[in-house]
Amino acid sequence: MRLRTFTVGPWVLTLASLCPNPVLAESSNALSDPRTALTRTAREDEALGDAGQEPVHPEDPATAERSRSEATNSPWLGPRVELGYVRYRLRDGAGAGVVHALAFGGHFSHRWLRFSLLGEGGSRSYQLGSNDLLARAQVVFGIQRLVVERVMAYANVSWGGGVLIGTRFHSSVSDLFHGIGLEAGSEIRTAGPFWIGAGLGYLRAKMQGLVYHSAVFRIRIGL
Amino acid sequence: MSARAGKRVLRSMVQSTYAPASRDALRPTLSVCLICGALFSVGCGTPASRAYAELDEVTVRMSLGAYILRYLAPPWSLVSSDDGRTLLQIDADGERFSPDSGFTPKYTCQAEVISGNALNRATQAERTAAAEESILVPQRPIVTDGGNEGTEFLSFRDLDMRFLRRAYFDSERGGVVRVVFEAKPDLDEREVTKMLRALSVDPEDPDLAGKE
Repeated sequence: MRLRTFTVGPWVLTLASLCPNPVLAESSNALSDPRTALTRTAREDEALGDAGQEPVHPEDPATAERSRSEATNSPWLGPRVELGYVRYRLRDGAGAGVVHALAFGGHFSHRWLRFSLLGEGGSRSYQLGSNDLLARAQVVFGIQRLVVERVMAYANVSWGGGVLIGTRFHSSVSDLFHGIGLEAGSEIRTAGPFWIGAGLGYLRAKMQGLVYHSAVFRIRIGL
Repeated sequence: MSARAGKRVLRSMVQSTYAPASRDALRPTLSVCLICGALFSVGCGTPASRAYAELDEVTVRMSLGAYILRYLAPPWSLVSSDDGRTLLQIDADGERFSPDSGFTPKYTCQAEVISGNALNRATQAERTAAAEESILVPQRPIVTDGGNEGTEFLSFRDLDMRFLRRAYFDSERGGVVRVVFEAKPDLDEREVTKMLRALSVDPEDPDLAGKE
């Protein structure tokens, strides 16, 4: 899949800043080298010309402002990273119930397609003792559409698994679970690169041969 | 999925070679396969919302009484169930990390059918226990989820520093179902109460129910 440069741009820039860059290195050396400084002065003199005019820059302030404005007003390609809160139920008859979790993850968008990797950490309430700890990872495939200028609607299918660690009768127990989910919602681009979003979904999870059905509520912020 | 996309998926499944025509259909095909795989992996199962779905159970039917003892496994494990007597236990933490090291189990639960009357049996047991144990909670009523009324009392044995919880339920067959918990932690807790309430005394026999 070919990703748009806009989507992967920040990642590329981050990597580029970490890697040795010959172009940047050259310009850095050039500034510290007096001979190059002399050469530059000569070039500037050439640019000034005989009449001593100001050097002609390839981009004047108006053009730069226009291009910056175009970049800001370019269609939003969707979220890239997120931090959120998610609530669902893994309720059984033994007192276990609602899950409250902190979710985090990244999104990769290509036109109307979206692929996401999400992680989750939280707790599941247990009426008869201390709450269980929960960790879950999810792979999400979805579609997205910019319905109005700053509002992105999405629908996705997710598959993931996790672990629950808790205490029963003063003994630690752990259970693995996995499940699929369907979710739909929307994201609103706010100031700058930030966005907020909310979604509702359905989760069908399986643990120790038992099937759990639950509604999922999610609120998120991100870049 | 649109009709065109569906046709592309079908075409890609039929075509054996990786022709350019099927290249576009690869992504939807993979997506469909992934979704089907995910659905299949979750599959069918017992709904967790069903009563006692998460609990294992032992059914005992004797001439004097019958019961279903339900327990959460793990941590509980069934040690034995014969002659109307069922023994469950939770191993000590040391035993879990070093098997056969001889640690006393953290919890034991013994259920059995005995003769007599629940109230008389409880009174007699409490009187006997008072000689060697400290009575923490004298006789009090307890009702199971199925509506079976019984009586229970809690005590502490100083000799080995163990808590005990004894419950007695009358059976319609003329006997008594006795459940005795013994543990290192205090037994006057909600998990044990929930386990006692999950006990079924004189459950319907599915074979007899069909005939009646």
